[in-house]
Amino acid sequence: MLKTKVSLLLSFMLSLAIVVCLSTIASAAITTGISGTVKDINTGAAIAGATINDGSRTTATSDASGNYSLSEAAGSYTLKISVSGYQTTSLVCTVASGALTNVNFSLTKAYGTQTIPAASMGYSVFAWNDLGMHCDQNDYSYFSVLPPFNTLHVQIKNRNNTSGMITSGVNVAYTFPKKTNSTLHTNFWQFAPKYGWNVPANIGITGTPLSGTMQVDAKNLGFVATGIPITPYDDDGTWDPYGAANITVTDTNNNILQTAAVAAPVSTEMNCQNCHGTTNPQLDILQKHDSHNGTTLVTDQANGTLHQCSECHSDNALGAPGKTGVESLSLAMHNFHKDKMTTTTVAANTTPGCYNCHPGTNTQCLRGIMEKAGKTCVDCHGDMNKMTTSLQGGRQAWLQEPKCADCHDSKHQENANTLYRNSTFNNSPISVMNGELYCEACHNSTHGEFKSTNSADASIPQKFQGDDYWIWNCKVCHANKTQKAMHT
Amino acid sequence: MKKYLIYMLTLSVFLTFNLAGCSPQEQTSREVLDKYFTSAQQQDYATTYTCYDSEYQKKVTKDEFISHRKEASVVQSYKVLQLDTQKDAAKATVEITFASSTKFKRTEPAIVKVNEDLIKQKDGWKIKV
Repeated sequence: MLKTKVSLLLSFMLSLAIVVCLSTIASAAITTGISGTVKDINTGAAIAGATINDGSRTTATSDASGNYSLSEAAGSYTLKISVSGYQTTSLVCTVASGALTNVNFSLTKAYGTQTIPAASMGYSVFAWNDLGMHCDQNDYSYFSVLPPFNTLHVQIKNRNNTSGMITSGVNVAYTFPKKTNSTLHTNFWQFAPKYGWNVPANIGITGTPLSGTMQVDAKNLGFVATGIPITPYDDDGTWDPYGAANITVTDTNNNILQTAAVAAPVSTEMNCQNCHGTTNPQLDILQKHDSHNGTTLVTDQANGTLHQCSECHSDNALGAPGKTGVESLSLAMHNFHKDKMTTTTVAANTTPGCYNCHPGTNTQCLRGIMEKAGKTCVDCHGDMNKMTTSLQGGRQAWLQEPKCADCHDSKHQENANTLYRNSTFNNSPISVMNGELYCEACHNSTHGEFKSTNSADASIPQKFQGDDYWIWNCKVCHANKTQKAMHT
Repeated sequence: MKKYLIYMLTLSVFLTFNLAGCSPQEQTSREVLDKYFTSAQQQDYATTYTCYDSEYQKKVTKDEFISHRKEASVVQSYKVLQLDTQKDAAKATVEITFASSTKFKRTEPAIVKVNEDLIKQKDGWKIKV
C-alpha cells in the first residue's frame, strides 16, 4: 500500500516537473523561431489558450496576453491555430537561421447557426467586382490616366441539381438604380474622342453600357460585363464610391429566377492635390512632366491636343503597349514619386502613404479581411521602393500581383500561374465542383475580401447565407448538402 | 379620491401639451427632402451632408463630401413628383434640373428623374445612400 502511495507521489511529482519544465521552455524568451500574438479580428482582444502547431510535434499555447512562441530551426513552416469559438486557420512563414519570425494571428469567430436563407430558394447567385476598386478622374480636360471602367462578374447555381454553374438558358441583366447617367457628373465623353475613344455618351471604352445584359465569360463558368462606365457619382450628385448594381437572372421565358445586389467600387479620390496644389493640380502635373522630361504637354493641352498617359507609358490595365524605352506607367509613377511622399505635410501624414494616389483615406480601398487582420497595402504589395525594384526586375503590373499563397497554406492558394481574380476552387469535397467556382465568388474581390469592414460588400452572403462571412455553408448552393468546410 | 384623480388627470394633460410644445419639432420626410435639394441648389453642401444617413456619414467625412460634391453638377431646380412615406421609410421620385456647365461642356441644363430613399433614424428622417 505504502509502495503504491510512494509510486503515485513520484509519478505526480514527475508529471509536475515535466509540466513546469515544458511551460518554462514555452514561456522563456526564444531567439530562434516564431513568436507573435493571437487576437480577435473584430475586437482586437487577446485570445488565451489558442493552440499553435507547426505541422510537426511542436506546439505552443497563447498566454493571457495572447502571446505565443515556438522554438524552431531555420526552415519553412505552416502554422495551424485552433481555439474553441473561433475559425481554425493557417499561415505560412519562413524562419531564418538565428532569427525570430513574427507571425500574428487575427481570428474570426466560429460560424453561426442561423437558418441559411438560400435553403428556401431555387437559385443562388454570386456577384462581385473584379479588382475591389477602380479609379476614375473628376476631370478629363487635361489628361487621362484611366477612363470610367468597371467590371462585374456573376455565377449562377441551380440549388436543386448536381450540375455545375449555369451559363446557358438564362439571361443576366445588370442595372445601377442610382447611377443611370454618368454624363451628368463627368466630362469624360466630352473629351473621349481626343483620347481616341469614339464612344457614345454613357458607353464605356469596351462598348459596354451603364445597364444591359452580361456576356458568358471566357472560361464559360459565369457572366461578365467588362468596362461599365460608372463613376462614383449617383445621378443626384451624391459621391458614393460603393454604388450597387442590381443583377436579375431570368429564364428564356423572361421569368425571374433570382436577383442580387453587388457593389461596383469606383473612386475619384486620387489626392493629387496633396502635392500638386489645390488650384489646378492637373496643370501642375503637366508642367512638372514637361519640366522633367522635355515634353510639351501644357502647350498641347492649350492647343486642344490631349494625351493619355498610356500613349507613351505602357499600361497593362488598358492593354496599351506604350513607347519603347519609356517606363511603364506603374514603374514611372512609383519610381518618380517614391522619395517624394514627404513633399507636403498632408502627403506625409496620409496613412497609409499609398492613399496619396490610390483611393483613399475616405474610400478605403483596402477594407477586406486582410485589413481587419491588421495588414496594410505594403504587407502584400511592398513599399514604393519594392514596387519600383520589382517592376524594374521585369514584373508586369496588373498581370503579376501578390499571391494569397505567400501567407496562406496550400489549401488556399491560387491556381498555378494564375491571379486570385482568375483562379477557381480546386479542392472541393465534391470533385465535380473543382474548376467551377471562382475564388472571388465565395471570398469577394481582392481588397474587399469577406468579412469586409464595408457593409456594401456583404450583400451576397447576407442574402444567401444570412451573415457577412465568406461563403462557407454548402447549403447556399446545394439543397441536399450539409458540409460546412469547402477546402479539403 | 375623486379630487385626487382630477388633479392627476389635469397635471398629465398639462405636462403632455407642454412637453410636446417644448421639444424640437421633428422634420417630416418632405421637409428633409426639401432641405437636401435646396441646400444642394444653394451649394451649401455642408447642410446637404447633414441630410445623409449615419451609415454614409461614417464612410465619408463632411470635408471629403464637400470637395467631391463641388466637382459634380450644380442643382438648378428640383420638383418632388411623388413621395410615399411609411412608418420608418419613405420613397420619393424627384425631377432634378442640373445647371449648364463649362466644365461638363453643357450649354443647356440637364434634367434627370431620380428615386430617393429615406429612412427614419434616431435623429429624424435621412437620405439613404
